Amino acid sequence: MNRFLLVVLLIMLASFSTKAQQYRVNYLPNDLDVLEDYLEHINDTFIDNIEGKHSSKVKKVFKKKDEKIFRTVKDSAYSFIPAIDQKMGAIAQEIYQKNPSINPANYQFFIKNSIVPNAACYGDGMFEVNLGLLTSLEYDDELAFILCHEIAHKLLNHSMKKVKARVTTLNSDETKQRIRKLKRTRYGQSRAALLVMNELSVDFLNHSQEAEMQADSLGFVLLSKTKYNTSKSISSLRKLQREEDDLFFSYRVQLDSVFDHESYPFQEYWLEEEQSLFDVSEKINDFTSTSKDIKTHPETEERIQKIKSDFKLNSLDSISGDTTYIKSLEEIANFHSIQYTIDLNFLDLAIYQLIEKYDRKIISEEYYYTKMASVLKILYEARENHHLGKYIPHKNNLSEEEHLNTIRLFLHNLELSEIKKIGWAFCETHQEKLAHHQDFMQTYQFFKNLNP
Amino acid sequence: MKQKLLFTLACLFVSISFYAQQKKLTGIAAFDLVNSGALMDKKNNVDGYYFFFQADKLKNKKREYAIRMLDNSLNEIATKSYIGDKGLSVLTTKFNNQALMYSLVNEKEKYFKLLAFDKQGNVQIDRNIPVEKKEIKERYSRDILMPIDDKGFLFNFRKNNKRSGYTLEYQATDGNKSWSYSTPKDVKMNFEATPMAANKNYIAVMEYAYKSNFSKDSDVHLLLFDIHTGKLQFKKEFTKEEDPRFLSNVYLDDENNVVVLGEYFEAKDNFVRDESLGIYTQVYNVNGELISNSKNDWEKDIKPIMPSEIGTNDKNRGHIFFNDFVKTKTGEYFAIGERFRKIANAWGIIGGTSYTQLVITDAIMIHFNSDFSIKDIQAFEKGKSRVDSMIDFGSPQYNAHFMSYKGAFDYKYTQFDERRNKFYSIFYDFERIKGEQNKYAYKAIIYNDGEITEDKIYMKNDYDTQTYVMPGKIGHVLLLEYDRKQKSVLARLAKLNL
Repeated sequence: MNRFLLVVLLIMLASFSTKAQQYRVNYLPNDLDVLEDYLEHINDTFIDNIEGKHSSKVKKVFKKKDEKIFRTVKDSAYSFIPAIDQKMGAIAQEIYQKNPSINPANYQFFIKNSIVPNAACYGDGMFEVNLGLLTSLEYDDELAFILCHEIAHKLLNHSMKKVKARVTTLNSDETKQRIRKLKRTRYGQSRAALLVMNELSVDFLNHSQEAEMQADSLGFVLLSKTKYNTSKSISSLRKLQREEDDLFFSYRVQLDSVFDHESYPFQEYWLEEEQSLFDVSEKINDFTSTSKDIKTHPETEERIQKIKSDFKLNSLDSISGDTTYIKSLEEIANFHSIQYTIDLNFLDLAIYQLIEKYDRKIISEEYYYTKMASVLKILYEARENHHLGKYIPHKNNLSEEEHLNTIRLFLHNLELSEIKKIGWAFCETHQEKLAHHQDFMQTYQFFKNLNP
Repeated sequence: MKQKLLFTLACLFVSISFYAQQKKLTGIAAFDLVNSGALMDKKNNVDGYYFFFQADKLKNKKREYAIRMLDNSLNEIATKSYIGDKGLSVLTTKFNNQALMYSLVNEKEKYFKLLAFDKQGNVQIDRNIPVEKKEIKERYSRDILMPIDDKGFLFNFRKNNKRSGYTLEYQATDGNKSWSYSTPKDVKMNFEATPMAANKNYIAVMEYAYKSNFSKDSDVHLLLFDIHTGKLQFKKEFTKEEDPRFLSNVYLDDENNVVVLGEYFEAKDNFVRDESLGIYTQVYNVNGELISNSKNDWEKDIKPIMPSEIGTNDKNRGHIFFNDFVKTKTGEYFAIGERFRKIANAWGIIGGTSYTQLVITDAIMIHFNSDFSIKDIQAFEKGKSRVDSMIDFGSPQYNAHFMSYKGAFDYKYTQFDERRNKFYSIFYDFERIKGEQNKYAYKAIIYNDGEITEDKIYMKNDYDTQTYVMPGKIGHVLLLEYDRKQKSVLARLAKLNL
């Protein structure tokens, strides 16, 4: 037990620099075995408390979940950034101290490499916060509400209840009888089975929505006991609404201006579309009747109205909040959300973020040119080795990620010889300004050698 | 054996896939995969991929089928339901920018089916073509369905009368007339058809005429049809007695002239069994009048400038087997082939299957100017392949034709990118390097902007991974990496580098 607390403490107390470019990042923890032991320990503790009907089946589900999480850790899905852990840990400490009912002994927040603003509770003490959440929020109060919401899921034992409810439903006499009847069905058996699956999934998703509302309410109560302003619960939900309203990846990246150089102008055919088999805006599926509108989370506006009405919150826009930690968290997350996409070869996401953050003046000119040059170098090497398809999906006409799709189309349309020339033109155009920058000059030399 | 595959709806259940009852439910809802394949056009460009499942048994010997479609970037775009007779399977699928057509067969009910979906995914054409059992049994394995961009589809199948013949069913998708053409009933020859080219006005078809299966008397004919009426515009016979020729490729140019490319032979020679005199191009107008005729003779024009076999100083070693001929948008021509020779097979003589072998070496590319004069001949190194001849008699040319039909040559296909005036010729390659493990690769010879370059994709085949390569969308190959431990397949597209 002490060993696990030690890990948490070490992460919390690690030294950090306020300069984002200098913070320490690992995609694997310093000691993977210790982390594995920790995950196994919290999982075992959690599983030991599972009782009642179908408990062995429920235990099996959580055991598999644990194994899956460890596999994703090993796949570099998370970042271990002491600077973020320390600041986020300080906000969490405020919540724990003011809410003695919370026992955080086995709690651990992990930073997930994702630019989507979101967070999750795994039920056994493990939580994850996406980098994209930290870049979307403005106040410590907003982050505190999200943490309270996730802790509320844990306190309300939602994960366990969800799994138990599903196992119970699936093993109920009624479901078994329906399955037996299905097996006896001579004609239209698959259709009938799909109908049962659809009905069950609608039922499960409805339960998930109820759980979200409950977590909002308890999360609000937990937040109200802290120094943080409860009105920021509303603004934090509004920021998450961007994803729901498909406003995420909505920044129009002007590739024809970024990659238009005097020595090598942008070519229109780099964005040439292919003929599609069908002129439809969404996937055709004659075998599902489940509405695409059914989501695990209720509509954000509904959640906001419920909080407002339950807790009598009125005009909130003018109230300012605490910014002690969020600014530096945002700064670190902004830089790291670019860096992980470069390190893990998610070059479409890297280009999208570099252009967006540079245009919005979040990153400096020097940083932008250096990183974009390095993205072009990685792009060249990935294409040369025929590996680009491993890292970057092709354009999907049915995807709502319009601007990301444009980048994907561009990257896959380019020939190797064209990437070589774009890299060279990009570096040559900016090399005078960055002659002092070692990383940039190394990339410049790389493209110079390719373009003798 | 039918392969059981879990179907798409299972994705709704990812989070609960560990429950036993759930497994039972998805098991019941599992569909049987009947067949699958790529949507490839006449230029070998892949427009997408399909999976044809039998979803359910229904009353009155009916079945519900599920057709799952992926675009050429491997994105799943549609799963359509189709209710039809028991026993349907897909022969091939093509796309013509207006519709997606499936040609299907029902062996028990004895019919071919043409089923087309419009751009909104609705059934546009659903037509049965009744045939005899023998006609289904002897159906063609390739060139069954040709898409004609923005016009329609040409379905080609064997149709027997007293002799073996064929029928071409033109199915319009642009609202114009559909028509059909069959070989006449009173002829004394057997016929087979290969649709070669089409544009918005005409369809060019190569007809192979022969007396019997092993007969030496065979001719090649070129037929041109008016796409709007089905009228036979002209039929040009390249008779064995007077002018034997083999048609490797046919193009229809912007003026509707028919450009023919291939090898020519001495009068009375057989184009399958005898060695050609050289390669030619001819141009016919829509009335079948010859308006241009150019030849390059082996002895006089080609051999003097033929490069030596790589690794030797022998310029004229062996023969060239031509796999394809390409005409670029700028009017230049390319002949794509492989160098081969026939040798005695020591193991065969001792007691194996064949006394002779074909040794296949370099890839050869002959580049012609627009007047068909030779601009350049290049040889490209490729691992040596040895294949048993299977038939020991006959000329090396005859063996090569036979072995080519069996897929023995390393050449796979050529993709032509009309928009960018590029083409990619793909070969299978086997590298033997001293001190290293032998490597399998896909080798591409690429023409772009007047230049020829090469690229190679190595296939990882070891204890953990087995790689398969399939044609992909233009300029790409589809790599399927099978993870032996995980028993999973990772599919991805790899772009050929130029």
